[in-house]
Amino acid sequence: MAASFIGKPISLISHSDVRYRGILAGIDPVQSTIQLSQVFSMGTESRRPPEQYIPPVQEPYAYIIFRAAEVKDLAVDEPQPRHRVHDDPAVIGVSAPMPQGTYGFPPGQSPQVPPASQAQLQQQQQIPPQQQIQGQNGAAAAAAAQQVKNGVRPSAAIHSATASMETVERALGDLRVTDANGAVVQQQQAQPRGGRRGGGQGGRGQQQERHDLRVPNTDFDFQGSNAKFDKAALSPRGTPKVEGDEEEEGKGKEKESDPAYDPKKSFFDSLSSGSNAPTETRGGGRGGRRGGGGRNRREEERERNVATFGEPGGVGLMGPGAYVGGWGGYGRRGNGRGRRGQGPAIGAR
Amino acid sequence: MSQAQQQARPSSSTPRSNNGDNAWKSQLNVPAKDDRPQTDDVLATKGLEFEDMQLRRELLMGIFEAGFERPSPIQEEAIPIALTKRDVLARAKNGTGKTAAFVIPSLQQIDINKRKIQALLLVPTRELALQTAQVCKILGKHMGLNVMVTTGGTTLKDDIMRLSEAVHVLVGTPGRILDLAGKNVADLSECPVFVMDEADKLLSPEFAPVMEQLLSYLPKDRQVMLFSATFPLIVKDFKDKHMESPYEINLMDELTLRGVTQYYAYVEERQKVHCLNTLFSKLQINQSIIFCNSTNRVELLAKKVTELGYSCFYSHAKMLQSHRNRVFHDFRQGVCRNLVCSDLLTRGIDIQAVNVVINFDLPKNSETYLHRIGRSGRFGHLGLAINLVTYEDRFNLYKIEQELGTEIQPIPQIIDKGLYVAPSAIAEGEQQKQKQTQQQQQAQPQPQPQPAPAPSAQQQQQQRQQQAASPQQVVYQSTAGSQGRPNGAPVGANGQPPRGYQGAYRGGVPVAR
Repeated sequence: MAASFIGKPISLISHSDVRYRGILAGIDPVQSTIQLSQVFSMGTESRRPPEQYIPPVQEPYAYIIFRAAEVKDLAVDEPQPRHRVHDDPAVIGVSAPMPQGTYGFPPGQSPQVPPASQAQLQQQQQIPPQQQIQGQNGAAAAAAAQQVKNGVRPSAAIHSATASMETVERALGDLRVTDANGAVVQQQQAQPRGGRRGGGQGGRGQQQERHDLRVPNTDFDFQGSNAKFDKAALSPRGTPKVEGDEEEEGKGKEKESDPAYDPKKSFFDSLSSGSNAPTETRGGGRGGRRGGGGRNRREEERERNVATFGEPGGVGLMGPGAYVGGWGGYGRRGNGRGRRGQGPAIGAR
Repeated sequence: MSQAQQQARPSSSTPRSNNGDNAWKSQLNVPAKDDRPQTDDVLATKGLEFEDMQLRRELLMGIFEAGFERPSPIQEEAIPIALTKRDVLARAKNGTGKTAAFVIPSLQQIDINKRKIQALLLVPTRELALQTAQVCKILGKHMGLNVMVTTGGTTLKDDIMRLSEAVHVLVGTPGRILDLAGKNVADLSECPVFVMDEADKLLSPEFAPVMEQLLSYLPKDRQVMLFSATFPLIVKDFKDKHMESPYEINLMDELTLRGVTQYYAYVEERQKVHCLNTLFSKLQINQSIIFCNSTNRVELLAKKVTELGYSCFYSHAKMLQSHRNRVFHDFRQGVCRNLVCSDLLTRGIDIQAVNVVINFDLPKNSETYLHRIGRSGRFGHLGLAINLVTYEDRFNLYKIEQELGTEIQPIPQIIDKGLYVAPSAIAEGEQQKQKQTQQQQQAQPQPQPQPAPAPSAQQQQQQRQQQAASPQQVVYQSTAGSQGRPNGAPVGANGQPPRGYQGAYRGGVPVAR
């Protein structure tokens, strides 16, 4: 059911050829409306001749309700390769934008606009395209939506509402949802799959709902934790490796009795490394890695990141190929938000 | 070293070692000694002196002024052989002096009056290139030679202009140098010395073709030298193909450093941050490097660490080169106590003040593990390596132990400071702790540093342009300032104020004791 995809990033093109990007907030089959939240109007981009050009709008709309009949095309936002300024041979150097605060966006800060539109952003200062509405509440907005839409292209209602709804549902049906556990599903919904920034808009908004990784005030109990782990049992002499299938890399080596390095026998070693591990495509295997397991790997990492840090990362902070805002390197000065309830050292310089 | 080798010496103006003409030595500006204890990894020498190596006086001056007293084992073995112009294949542990072992003979063979590239030193990462070039400059300080460093991520044009002047030593990463050589900008036709540091990395599939091409630009009778702590079999192919009866030096009876104590802490993924926080509060960290397995995780962790109230820098391959450089430089200077990074900085990086390495994510293979933990315990000093291990990592942990022939112990409740803290710093640490408790009561939250108002997209555009012109540091403060995090005063080897590596790149080592 389409409703289960609420929270996904969506790209929607109206019959006026204006593209909107936002988070699917709701679908009303009765009224045949689609509701997006955190919507950016991308303008007509290159879909219309220059004289009919409608520029993108910088500020996102909290909500826009669309008549399904007026929707020309709708797609779940897939990650797309970011335009990298470095790919341009004319560019000799580039500086990333200044970090906002230091990391991420402060609450209430408008999310960053998807990269595709950044160039256009520079030129736009103008009025929003006429056919959007900024709905405060559902009903009123829905009513308004119809008026507005009608004004622009009255003859465009060729597609039936149901057909449009099918488009919506089909597009949404492509999404794969990880059902591993509730938390993950929620995360997945809040985030686009591939770390695209556009989707991060929604993710940002819902960030407070993410599981908050609390660091307890107490010390970590190393001994208690280590007691749960029997390292000796890992050796082949201990327990036979029943779970061996989980760890591909572990298997091959366990059978070897020769040490990986014996200076008496050879100058060379047979340590596992990035370039010799079959499962590890680090060295040289770039192409292959992109193609095949790339997405899964990325998803796995996002899940792991949520487990470790309470957020998946990679959105806003760093899209694929994006540079982190500003200075990588410098973490924000700890300013008393340490959870241990203590101020930090006084006076960093 | 045999006497026969002396014939091969290029310089005839070498001072005789013990003939009493030692006036020049008294003029030297030798840095203070490093009194930290060291292990046999760097002390087990035969007793050769730098003065016995028939080096030019100018080079010797640079060596002593860098704080070197006696050659380390690998230097003792490699330098005399390398001076005979023979091909060398040298294997020694992390941080035992390999860089100087190839820089010294490379510099010795340079004819300053010849305006040609006479030594090509290749390294796998940009940061390592900077570091190696710095070593060349320090050691060659009195020789009047020109060292140039060139890497990707910088402007090619600058490199081209620079190469129109005399360059004697070229240090860099393979791709850029191949680029320059292919454009006939870098003339390697009379370059007799070809060194590959972290040779196995340079011969991994991603670099190997480049290396082969590069070699074709050098004269036939060049000297090829390979250095690393790990030599997988892939290096053998290269050796058979491109090296002429190389002299093999292997100083590694075992793989791991004696001075580095390794622990694991078994954690769940979601406990890692908590665990790290506890480690920060318990350990007496002089400087630490924390490794993550992806760039995203580097950023996420850096964010968490700062939220916890600890200062940290971070670095990874997707950052702008200028930022990477700045982080690297400032971390070396001791501006910040903790560095979160990806495997970008796994190899070769030599920061003496690092006494703790934390694998926030256990690496996937033992080679990476070995190089990572080798960031602490530099030059035979003591250090700590702590691995956060999850259930998923269990076989990897086992594999690493097996392959490296080492044992990683469960972390004890209390870690003996004697295992990783310089004796002189232990007492200091205690005082710091007390002071800090007092300060905590008065501590006020710091205001956010300068650029607090988050810029709009448009402002960002402008700022981006400004930044392109003059990169500036945005948040540039360290909580770890001198007023004491639990871990003591800001770094610098052995509790001294952070010192630049300009004057003494190792802060006063090697010291034979």
